[in-house]
Amino acid sequence: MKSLLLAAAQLAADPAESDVLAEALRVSGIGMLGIFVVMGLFACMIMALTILFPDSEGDA
Amino acid sequence: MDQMFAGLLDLTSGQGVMILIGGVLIWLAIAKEYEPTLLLPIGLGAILANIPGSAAIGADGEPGILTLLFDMGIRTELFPLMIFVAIGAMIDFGPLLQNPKMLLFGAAAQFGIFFTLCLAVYLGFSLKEAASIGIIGAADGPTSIVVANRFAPHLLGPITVAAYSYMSLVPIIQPPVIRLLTTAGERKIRMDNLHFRPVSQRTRILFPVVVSVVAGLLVPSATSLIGMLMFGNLLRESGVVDRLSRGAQNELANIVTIMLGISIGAVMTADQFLDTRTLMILGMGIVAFVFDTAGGVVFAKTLNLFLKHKINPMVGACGISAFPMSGRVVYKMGLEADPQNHLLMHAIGCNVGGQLGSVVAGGLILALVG
Repeated sequence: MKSLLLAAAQLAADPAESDVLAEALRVSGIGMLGIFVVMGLFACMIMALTILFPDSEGDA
Repeated sequence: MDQMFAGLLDLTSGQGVMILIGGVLIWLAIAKEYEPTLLLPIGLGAILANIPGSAAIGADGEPGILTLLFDMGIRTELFPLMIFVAIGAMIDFGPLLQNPKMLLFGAAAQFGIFFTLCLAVYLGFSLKEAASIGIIGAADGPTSIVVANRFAPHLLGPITVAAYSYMSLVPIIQPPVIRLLTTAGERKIRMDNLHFRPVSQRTRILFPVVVSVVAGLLVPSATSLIGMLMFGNLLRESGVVDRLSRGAQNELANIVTIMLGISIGAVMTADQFLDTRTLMILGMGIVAFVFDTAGGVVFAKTLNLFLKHKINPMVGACGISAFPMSGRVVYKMGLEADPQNHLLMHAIGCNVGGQLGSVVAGGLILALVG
């Protein structure tokens, strides 16, 4: 715990390093959100395709 | 006479260690069958690359066979993209099309990528290096190669070895994490209530085309990754080019895998590989897989708070791209918890969603960090 606090303090004292960490957190946040948006869109698209082109005899 | 023993006399301890590591990779491939199609050529490539004055790497300013293959196929990203064509032709997206909600687990189980990215930055790696390390969590070799080649080519060796090794270790890495995060009761949840709707041939054909267009418009940097995956799938589903589909699944996959594996060995030279950073990368690779698994399981548990028909949280762990190992692991764990609980279709659907998720994650990282 002590070493973690020490590392956090060092990080806070080094603006360049904390900038990179902030950028990493930003990329991660947007990345995770982006994946959910894209995959959610894919899911909606598949549902639309299955409604538009339902399985019919001789087609499957 | 001196020239005859030049290689032996010039051998450094680092090169000796790398030759041993190459031997270990070959042993793992043959004795343990850990991703043998890749670890075997990577192992021999590593040995060839570490022989002093190796003609396989190049001599007198002339590139050797490994360097040529690397420049031609890895640096240009040709080999990993061709592998995607083969994977696309091998995958049946049917279970996913029947239950598209599973795509969300393919998103949740990419959490390890971003957690590891932050961890790597915290441990002193640059953002581009960290992104390349994090992508090990995509559990998808070609995506790892594309991202690492773009952002941190000097780390390509350890990242590729970690990605492929841990993929084969999914049956060892995932079960303890899943057990830790689920109760015995949760592992027994049946998903019989979830309906699998039939999917028409038109939907199967339109799916790769529409995904290519939508993904390309949303994440242009992922166009080549997703486009090649979907191209392979279109060959499979169109039903009119069976010969090409079989060619992609067999001949293309085999030939490119041989060239990809052995040329990865070219970057596993002692000066690049024997580094404390390599050990850190191997360690962070496991972290990425663990947090991917945790991300999928926790997301499923969270969804269960709102759902009438509960999801077995173990299925969430299949959202990683390691296909079909992860699906099989969860299927077996489901049977262990309840011998009548058959989760295979759900697990495979989710696992296929993970394939898409990992490629989308790779594209997003290329766009956000590039």
